[in-house]
Amino acid sequence: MAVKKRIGIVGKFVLPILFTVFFMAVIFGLATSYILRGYILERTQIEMSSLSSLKERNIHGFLEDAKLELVYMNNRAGVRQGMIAFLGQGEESSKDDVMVRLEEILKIKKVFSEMMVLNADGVVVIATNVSDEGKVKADDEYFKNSLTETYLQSYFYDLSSEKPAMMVGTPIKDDDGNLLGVLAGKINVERISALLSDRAGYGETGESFLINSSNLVVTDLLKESDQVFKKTIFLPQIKNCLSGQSSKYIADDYLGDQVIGYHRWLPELKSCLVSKIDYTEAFSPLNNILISLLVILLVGAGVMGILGYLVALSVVGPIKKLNNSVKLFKEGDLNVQSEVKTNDEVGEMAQTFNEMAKKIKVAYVDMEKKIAEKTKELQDKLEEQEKMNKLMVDREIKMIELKKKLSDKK
Amino acid sequence: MKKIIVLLFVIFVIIFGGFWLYTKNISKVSTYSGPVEKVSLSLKWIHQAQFAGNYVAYEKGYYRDLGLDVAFIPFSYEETSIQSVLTGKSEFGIAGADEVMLARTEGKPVKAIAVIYKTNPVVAFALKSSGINKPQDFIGKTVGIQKGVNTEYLYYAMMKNLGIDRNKIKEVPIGYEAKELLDGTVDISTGYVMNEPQLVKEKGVEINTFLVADYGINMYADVLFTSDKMIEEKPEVVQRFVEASLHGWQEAIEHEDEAVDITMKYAKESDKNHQKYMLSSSIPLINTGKTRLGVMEPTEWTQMQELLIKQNILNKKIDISTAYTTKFVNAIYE
Repeated sequence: MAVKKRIGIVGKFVLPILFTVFFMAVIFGLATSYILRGYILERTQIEMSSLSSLKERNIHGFLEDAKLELVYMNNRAGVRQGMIAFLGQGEESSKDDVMVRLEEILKIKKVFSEMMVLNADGVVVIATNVSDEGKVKADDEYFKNSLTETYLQSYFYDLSSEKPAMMVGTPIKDDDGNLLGVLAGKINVERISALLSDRAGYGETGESFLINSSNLVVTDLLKESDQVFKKTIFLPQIKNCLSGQSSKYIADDYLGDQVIGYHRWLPELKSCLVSKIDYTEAFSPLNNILISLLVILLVGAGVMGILGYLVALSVVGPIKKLNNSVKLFKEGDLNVQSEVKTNDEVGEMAQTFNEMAKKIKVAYVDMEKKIAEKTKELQDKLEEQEKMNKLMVDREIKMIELKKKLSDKK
Repeated sequence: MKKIIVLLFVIFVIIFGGFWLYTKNISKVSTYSGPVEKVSLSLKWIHQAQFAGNYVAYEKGYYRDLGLDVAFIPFSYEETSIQSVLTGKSEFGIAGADEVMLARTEGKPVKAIAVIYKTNPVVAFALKSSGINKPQDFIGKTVGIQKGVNTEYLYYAMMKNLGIDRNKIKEVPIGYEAKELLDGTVDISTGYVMNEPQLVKEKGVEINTFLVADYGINMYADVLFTSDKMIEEKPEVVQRFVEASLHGWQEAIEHEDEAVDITMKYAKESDKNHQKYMLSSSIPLINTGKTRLGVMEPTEWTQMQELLIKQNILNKKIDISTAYTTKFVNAIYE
């Protein structure tokens, strides 16, 4: 026997099968992964973009409602007359009328959390929250801009309500078009937070939130609670968005997790609407697909391996049997006949061996016989010669005796 | 056969190695690697949560990471933070924008480099039960004034701005603990929103507050400042100091409780709840949402100077742009 390890026919059968299956698994897995990756990425980005667009529409709708509501109130008969009388003619009695109507509207519509009337100097003269009365808003962005048109001031921290707020204002003019002051409403920003915290379609890790032009997070974060108006984000993609660009992206988020998302610049709020989902979640279907693919291929490999093994065994078994017969024959058992009767090449070979063995045996026996015959022939001949010899020798002896007798007689 | 196995293994390693490299995120961490600079910061007051951001910057290593070894010098009556910076005892200081403008008007070479308290915390406050809902209601009442500090002139400025005749109000001097309001000596007290009103609230008494800032009067309460010399000779040190300080404040805003714990390392004798309240009521004045942390607005400076001239605190008008520079803060947010 050679020292080198022999790879039997079984190995030669099974190993290539396993290698082929394995190789196919790798190629197939990579191809699937590559194709699906592109597909999933595109789908996720489209998804984030459309969720973002939906949120934008909702927010825009809400803000438009707020503006319309304010303008409507400004022109509403009771309110308008009251404000003109109070601001224009200084009729103190109109103040209560206006206040009552503003409070009524606050109760019915939850768009505003507070309403106020400011005079042309920016002093709050009527406020549904009494403690705001007398405050000076002359330098406030919304006041300055509302003198000419309906204007929205985006997120800022409101000291009187001790929470983030937004203000919308609209000019109050008398019938001749003279500016009397500004009607302003503090927008209930919780409504916007509620719109954003509706996470239908976002999966486990998806979210949308707003970040204002000071890079300050102004609505709830999914992964970090209690950071509204505290956390700032200066990631490049946020900076890009705050410079007025809307775009899809893949990058690390505020916690360093890789995310797929869409940034939408909201000019109305001077803020960036971030909509994103964790990369791992977006790609989790791919992992599932790859895992099932792997399982299928492993099972396939197992089945093929077993099949190959069985096939190899069905070939190798008869060969081994035949080999045993050949060995016996080699050792001198001329009666050996292989019992392999398979209907294939090995069976044929066994048949041939059997015939060969028979023929060899016959030839051998025949030869023995002939040798015996020849031996006997030779024996016989030898015996005959012996007889002849004896005869001749006897004759010779008789002749010698006769000659002696003759010579004696002489 | 062995060769095939090795080959397959190599292919495997290349494929997965490549994939791993592709997905791996290479994050950059920028740290300063130069000589460490020793600098001092003179505080506007004794150790308290008013300076929490600076303590956080120190304790969390933001100063150290940018090559700064910072020492804090608390307020002393012998030497204000302005004097301390002018004499070169400290490189940086915290003071009110009014102090900086006053010094600058007197020709002293100091410059504000970042604002911390954008909204002034000076406040007038009355018991809720008194029915005093606006400064106009002060008429006919007694107001307690803290004499000699900026509370006094900011209160005067507010009343003037609102056109309220102070002759109809009785004004008496008070201390810093709001006792006079509680014992009924005064109807209205004055102080800092994160300090005196809290002392009253801690007694379980409800109050109405009137921030001067809500009535058209504002004055940056705390600004970081340095000397012209420092800006000229070591602008990069100033830059790093501003950056680390604002980073400290950002951290303090995001993690208030931790910032209070850190503050307690300095304000050892103070009450923790008081410091906690001080920080939480300070943050809205620092982090307004309108501009980024530390950002100073030229229009504010102009208005603040006008206010001081009106109040006869400044006797002449100077080029206000010499009193501050926005370049260091701007460089951070570029």
